Amino acid sequence: MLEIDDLTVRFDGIEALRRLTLVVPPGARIGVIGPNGSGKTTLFNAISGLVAIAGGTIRLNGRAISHLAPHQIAASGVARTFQSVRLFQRLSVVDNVLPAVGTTRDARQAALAALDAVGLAARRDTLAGDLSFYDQRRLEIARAIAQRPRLLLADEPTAGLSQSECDHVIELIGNAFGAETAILLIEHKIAAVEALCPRSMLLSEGRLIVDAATSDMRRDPRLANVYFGTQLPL
Amino acid sequence: MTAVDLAQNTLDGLMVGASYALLAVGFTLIFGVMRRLNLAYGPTIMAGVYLGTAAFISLGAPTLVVLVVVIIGAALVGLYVERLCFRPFGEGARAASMVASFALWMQLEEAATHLLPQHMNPFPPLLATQPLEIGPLLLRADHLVMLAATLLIAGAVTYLLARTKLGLAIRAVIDQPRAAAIVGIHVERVMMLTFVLASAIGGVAGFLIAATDGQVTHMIGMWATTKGLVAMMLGGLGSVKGAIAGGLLLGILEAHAQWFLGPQVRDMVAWGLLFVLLAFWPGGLMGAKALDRTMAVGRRV
Repeated sequence: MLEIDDLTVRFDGIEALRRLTLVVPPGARIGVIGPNGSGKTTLFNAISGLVAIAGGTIRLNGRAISHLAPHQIAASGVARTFQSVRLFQRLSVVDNVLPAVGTTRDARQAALAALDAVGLAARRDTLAGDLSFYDQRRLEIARAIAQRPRLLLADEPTAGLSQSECDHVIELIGNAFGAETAILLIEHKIAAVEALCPRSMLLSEGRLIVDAATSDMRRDPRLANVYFGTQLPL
Repeated sequence: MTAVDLAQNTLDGLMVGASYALLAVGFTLIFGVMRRLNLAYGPTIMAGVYLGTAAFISLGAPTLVVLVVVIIGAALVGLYVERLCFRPFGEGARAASMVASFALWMQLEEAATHLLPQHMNPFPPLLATQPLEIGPLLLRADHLVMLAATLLIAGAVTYLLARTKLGLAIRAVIDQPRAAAIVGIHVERVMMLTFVLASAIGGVAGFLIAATDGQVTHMIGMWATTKGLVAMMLGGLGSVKGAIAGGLLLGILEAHAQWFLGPQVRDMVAWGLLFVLLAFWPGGLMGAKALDRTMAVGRRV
């Protein structure tokens, strides 16, 4: 469904992603791990059209999306959450979700259904900025649910949450999206990746180092090498 | 000074302030979605008014037709400004947008003087009736129309923002443009439509101002930029309610300044007020949160 071929992204001469190739089948759930600066968020930004790519192609269901604007990529079925929550802080909870629903006739009903799925329907009229951080995380997930995406890019959805909140958010992501929705999950918490993603990718310095079953990832010496800075046995 | 003088000055200021309020609404809409200052906003209005004036002088167009020409002219020139000064530059290049809008200010003024070389040009009056008498107070009917139009447009803009799909998109873009794009909002189109809407509102303001004066010079461009800017800052960046309050308050303050200190210091009071505001009350009456957010965005960029 998502095919990335030879993707390169540069910032002022620094290669944030280096010739990355990746195939994500429909319904796949893949963890994306790696230390800060390894290119995880840049990968998400490139897929969602928020940064220009320097080389390679990104295809969604056979259609090249690398040249599309972010709103067009969203319309083609890509939803996104951010490491730093990006809600419309001065809009109500339901107004945060409504733009994601699109032009359906029962837009408000669809928005409320998405809020119900994350347990925020009762707070529909509260300003998003007045929610707790945990609720803001859940609202961002509701917004993604309302988009009915074919691909969800979840960028550290548990960052800043307690362990129980973290568990709930991972469970929520696991249950709220259909089996046909592919999920890429950036996480530093390996346990969270293990709970949701049978497959994982390890990035380092913009390169894809390991693409393996998550159950094997903990034992892979390259994981420790990447995180602790020792020489990589490439 | 008697209580009647005080009331009359306040009433006069309120009426003039209505035009400032309309200018500030347009300014604040553009600032809200662009997070950048459009110095060509006043000259955009001037261009619309000059096109309407040309239709009046050359073709003898009736007042209603002049109004339509001014609104459409201002909207189209606003689109031109958006394409040249804002669309090509990202939010990170605020200075480039501001300088480009200054360049278009000069260009539009020059174009206007070519279109109508005379310094002073006649403009069709809105209403030629005698002032209304309310007890000891006098009230110009055209000023009353200006106040009514301001309240009507403010209500319509508030409805648009609160109740329509476009309004929701505008509010989303104002709040968090990157997230708006991610959920499927065509941010550039929303910015363009907001720009055109704000310019059309400016066109209404320009028409009302020129019609109540019965004449127009190209200085209306600079006048509209400065008055709209001060009124917006007074009310608060990015707040429609603040823009209305700021415009009305500026009009009232100017009217009293003119009475107490003389007409020659009226504008100095407005500019002095702007400096005081920027120094001690940068958020304005209702826009403190908007300013905080803008500064936060600036830090992120």
